[in-house]
Formats: sequence, structure tokens, C-alpha cells
Amino acid sequence: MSADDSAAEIRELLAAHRDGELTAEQLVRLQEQLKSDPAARRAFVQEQLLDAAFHLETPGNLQAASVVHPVADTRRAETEARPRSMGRWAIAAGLLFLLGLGLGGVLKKRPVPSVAEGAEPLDDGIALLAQSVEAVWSGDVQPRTGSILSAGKLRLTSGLAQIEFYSGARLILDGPVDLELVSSNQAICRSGRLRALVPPAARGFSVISPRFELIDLGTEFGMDVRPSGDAHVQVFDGEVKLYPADGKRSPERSQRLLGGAGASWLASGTRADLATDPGSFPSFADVRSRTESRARLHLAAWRDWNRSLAGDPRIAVRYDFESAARTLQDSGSAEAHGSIIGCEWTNGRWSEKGALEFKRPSDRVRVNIPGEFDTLTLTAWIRVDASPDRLQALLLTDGFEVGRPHWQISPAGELRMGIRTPSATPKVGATGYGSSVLFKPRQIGVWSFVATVYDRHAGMVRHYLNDREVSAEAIRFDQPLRIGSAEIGNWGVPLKNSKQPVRNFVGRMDELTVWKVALTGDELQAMNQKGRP
Amino acid sequence: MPSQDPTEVFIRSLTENQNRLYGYIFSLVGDHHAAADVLQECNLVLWRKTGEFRAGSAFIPWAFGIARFQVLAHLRDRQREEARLLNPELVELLAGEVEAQAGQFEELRGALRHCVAKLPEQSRELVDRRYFRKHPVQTIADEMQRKLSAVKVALMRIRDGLRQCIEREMRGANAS
Repeated sequence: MSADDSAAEIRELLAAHRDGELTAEQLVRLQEQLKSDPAARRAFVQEQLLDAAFHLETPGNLQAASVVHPVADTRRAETEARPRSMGRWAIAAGLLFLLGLGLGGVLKKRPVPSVAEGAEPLDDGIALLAQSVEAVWSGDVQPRTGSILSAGKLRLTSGLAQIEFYSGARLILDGPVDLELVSSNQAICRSGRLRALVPPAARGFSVISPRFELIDLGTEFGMDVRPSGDAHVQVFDGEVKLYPADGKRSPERSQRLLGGAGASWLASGTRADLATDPGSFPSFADVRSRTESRARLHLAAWRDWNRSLAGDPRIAVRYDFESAARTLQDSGSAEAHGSIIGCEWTNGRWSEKGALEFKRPSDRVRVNIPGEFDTLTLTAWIRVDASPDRLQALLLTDGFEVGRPHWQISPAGELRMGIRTPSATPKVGATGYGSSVLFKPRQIGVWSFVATVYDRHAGMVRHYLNDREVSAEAIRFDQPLRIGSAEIGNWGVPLKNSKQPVRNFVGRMDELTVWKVALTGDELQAMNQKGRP
Repeated sequence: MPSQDPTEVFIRSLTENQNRLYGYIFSLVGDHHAAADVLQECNLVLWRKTGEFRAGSAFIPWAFGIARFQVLAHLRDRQREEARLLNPELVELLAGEVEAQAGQFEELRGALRHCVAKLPEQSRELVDRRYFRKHPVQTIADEMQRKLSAVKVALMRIRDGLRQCIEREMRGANAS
């Protein structure tokens, strides 16, 4: 048989295979040909690769290179000036994409051992916004105090912000500052003023400016990058090394600066010495004292507003967490005072504001809230301190009776109002109104304002987070709500000695109000504004 | 000078070679679902063996070697299934040929795109249904109200034409 004939036969056999019509005899024939004839092998591989190519060209199928490359390439282009490890997270993300998610459409889902360690939650955080004073951010990232920060751009328009990198380095940004976080050990300052404290553990931390790259050898320094491109550095203590910003770190091109010395590298190319003046950059003590004085002002304003709510007829019960006793005081009647079990008093949104800390499965506040509601609004200030991997209770009525709401955070991190409807079994008879996912790892440890409005007149259930409505859903079963015996931060099933699901809230709460009315989006926004830490 | 961080070099090589690896594995497995599974396993093994890969050494031969091993393991697991196209002996026998051709896989894909674009409308429609969207031939025949055998013959001809076009394209690319 000639090579051409042999190839033609292989193609025919493979066409039958593709069509699912290859007989057992044909399979034996195919295998014999492959075994004995190199031309058959060549044609076989050619055909198979052609099919693989067809497959990869089909939209929706595995497109590894074309999916991953743009990411890697932009990162590469963007970071040409950076010497090392640039865009590594992007590539690693690409890899995870390949291994886990991206191939999901094509690959059957299977447990992924060792690399991703099963379903362990992943987070690409590299730093924390530890403090901020009157910080105004522009751009996509709008962090709040306590926010975890990942690699990316940060634009502080005004105010002060203190960033703590996971490497241990600390920066104070004195707005306006245009900063890019690269890794836990590196940042780019395009313009603006910052002060850095680099303890020995973070030695090697570097800041890149348009003129130079600064490698810190354990020190405290100030940096000022002007819009013109002129960059100035003042070393207050310790030692830094400057290299030209082209990423080529060679000893002969470096400039060493010791404590008490400063340098100006101008856009024109000239370099000059600079005197140091530590007082010209805000210090860590400044940030602390300004944070504290701002907090006192905010707290005073909030207290004024809190007092103004006394006797408000719209309020069913209100816990302002202001008196640290073992009874949680309702600002209205003593009937609705809560009994604190476990929970310790701690500080809230402001250091001098009281809050309860919920941590252990036993922590809870038992309350009894009378009344029947056609409209109901629940509002609270909470700080979720653990990734919600199970239901976490905010306010749960005992048991799960018809018309009694369960206000909680779902395992996925949604704010959720579950209400039992009259039906034979709780499973069938439950209607749940969930928000989008709000409590991702990024929202952990950040004070948040949460609100849920149940409105029979409008026929809607709405959820709010901070200043925005995050979901609106039509009521699926129209009924009035009652609360009665309930728990804050936990779920008690009284009477029986049975075991019960663990639903305790992990975090802090420093304000909770049950309103008899359906508050509007504007009213809630105003409330968020009053209470924002 | 690009970064020499070994992990980074490794990850980049791995992502850049996903399609080649897929082509390699599919050639020997002959089923897209199975190939995708084997590729995923292969990625994990490559990742675990990162330490064996030294930056600067050739990634592809090393990765293909591990891919071959994974294909063999896959065949062993499915010993009793009838739909197997190849046996371990043939996989070993074909490995050299696959390695040689799969190395050119990106060129093949480029040529394929080019050649498909040049097809007449009707042929392109057939190729799209059969080879891209993988509709069964019978379905295509029914939808186009044509005889099954006629569709099969037409597809065979188009595929022959495409293959010749691709060979020309790739020869041209290699010559220039």
C-alpha cells in the first residue's frame, strides 16, 4: 500500500470514529495500520491535531492562550519599568483560571488536590487600609477604614490614609496621592506626598517614582513626587538606596542616602541634595491624633442625632449600644430591653462608642419585640469579622413560625430576610429574599450599614448596604410580620433540649433599630451618612 | 531583560503552552472530554513538579513527556472501556510523531483560521456545523434536507481541501 493510500485509509477510519460509526473490525484495522506504517501515523496525528484545532477555535471551548495572554501582556507592558516580580499575581490568577475556573466549561469539575487545596477561599489582598482621616477617594477603588487592598491603583484626592502592607511596611498618604500597590513589598507613587516607615521585617520594601526607585533598608522616609515629575526624598532615619527608574539596578548607578539626608531628582535630569524636615510630612502620631479628634466630632454629631430620635413614633425598638450594662437598653420602653448572654462590650465605629462583640456560639442578646407590622424596616451597623461560611444571625425570631422574619447573612455573604409562610413544612413554606453577595472577604472587618425594608403596601422587599440599594424583590407571599421573642446575633430554639444549628454572628454590632415604617432609600442614605465612621 | 523568577517563568510557559498540550493529549486520546480531563491532571502534575523544571531549559519536551505519561495513566484507568482508540503500545509508538507535529500547533491553528475564511459560503457553513459545533452528520443532513451520504462526501472533500490549504500555508510560513 502506498503512503497516500495508507493516509487516505486512516482519514476514512478517523471520519468514522468522529461520526461514532467505527466498528470493532475497523478499530483493529486502524491500530494495525498505525503499528506498521509511519505514513499512517503521520496522517493520524495530522487529523487529530486538526480536530483539536477546530475544537479550540470554537467559541466557548478552551482558549487558554488567548484568554491568559492579554492579561499577562498588558501587565508586562505596564510594568516595564519595574525590575522584578511584576504582574506575578496576574499570571498566578491566570494559572488558577486554567487549573480551576476557566476550563470549567470544557472540563468536568473535579476536586483539585494540592494546588488550590480544595475549596479554600483565596484572597489577593496585599495591604490594609488601617486608618483614614477625611479621606476622599476617586477611581474604582473606594476603600474604607479596615478594607483589605489588593494590587492596583489608589487615588486619594484629599485627606490622610494609613496603609499597612502585609510585609510590615507602613505608608501615610497625604492627599492628593496617586499610588499603585504592586505587591506587599512594593508600590508605585506617580504623584503626591507620602511618609513610609519600614521596620526591619519589611526591609527591601521599594517605592517607584517616575524618577527613581527607592529601596528601603529599614528606615523612615518621606517622598514627594510633583506633577511635573520632579521627585524628592528625605530620609529621617536609617538608610535607603535610589536607582534610576528604568529597572536596571546596578551598584554604580545607585545613590545611597542615610538618615538626615535628602535628594531631589528632577524631571530635567539634574540631581541635588535636599535638607530634611520630618515635620513637613504627617507623622503616624498625627494620623492617630487626627483620627481620634475626628472620631470624637463624628461621635458627638451621631449622639445629637441619636437623641433626636427619642420618642420617634416610627420606631418600634432601638438599641443604641450606649450604656455598657448586662441589659441592652431599648431607647423606648423597658419592655423591649435585651438580655445579654456572653457577648463582651467593646468599642464600636468610633473608639469611644459602645458595641457588643459576638464571637462564641453562646453569645446572644435575647429580646422581645411586640407588635404586628405591615411595613417593617430593620437597620443596623455591623462589622462582620469572619467570612460567612454558614448562616450568621443578625436578628432571628425564635423557631421559625409563620410570619416571623429571620434576618441574617447567608453562607455566600448575602443579606437575607427569610419569612415562614403558612404551609405544611418549613422547607416548602419559607420565602427568602436575598441580596447580592455583599460580604466578600473584602468587606470583612469593615463597619457597614445594613438595612432591609419589608413593605406590604408597595409589595416589595429591599436590601441596602451603606449608601446603596442592593436588591429589590416583589413580596411573594403577602402577610403581616411579627417578631416577638427573638435573638440578636444568634438563634435560640426554646422549650426543647434538642441540638440546633450554629448560627451565631461573628463580628460587632453597635446600633440596631426596628422601624414600624418602610423607610425610603433617601432616609436610609441620610442615616448612613449620619452613622458613617 | 525579562524576569528570571523561576515560578514566573514556569507559570508563563505553562499558560503559553496550554493549546499545544491540548493538541498533544487530544491526538492520543481522541475524545475532547477525556482530553480536557487529562490536560487538567497534566497541569497539576506539571505544577507539582515545578522543581524539576529549570528556567532556561526547554519546557515543551519536558511537558510533553509528562503529558504522555498522563495519557498512559488515563488509558490504564480505562482499560476495559471499548471506545479507546489507542493502546499504550501505540501511544509510545506515536509519541515522537505527535511531539513533532504538536510543536507546530499554533501555526496549524493560524493556518486553519485562514483556510476556513477562504472557503465558499456553503462549505463554511458545513464546516461550522460539523467540525466547530460538532453537530452529528445525520442532524446536518436532516436540517439541510440532503442525503446523509452526500453530506459525508461533501465534508470529506472540504476537509481534504482544508488540509491541503493548511499544508501550503505552513510550508509557506516555514519557508519565509
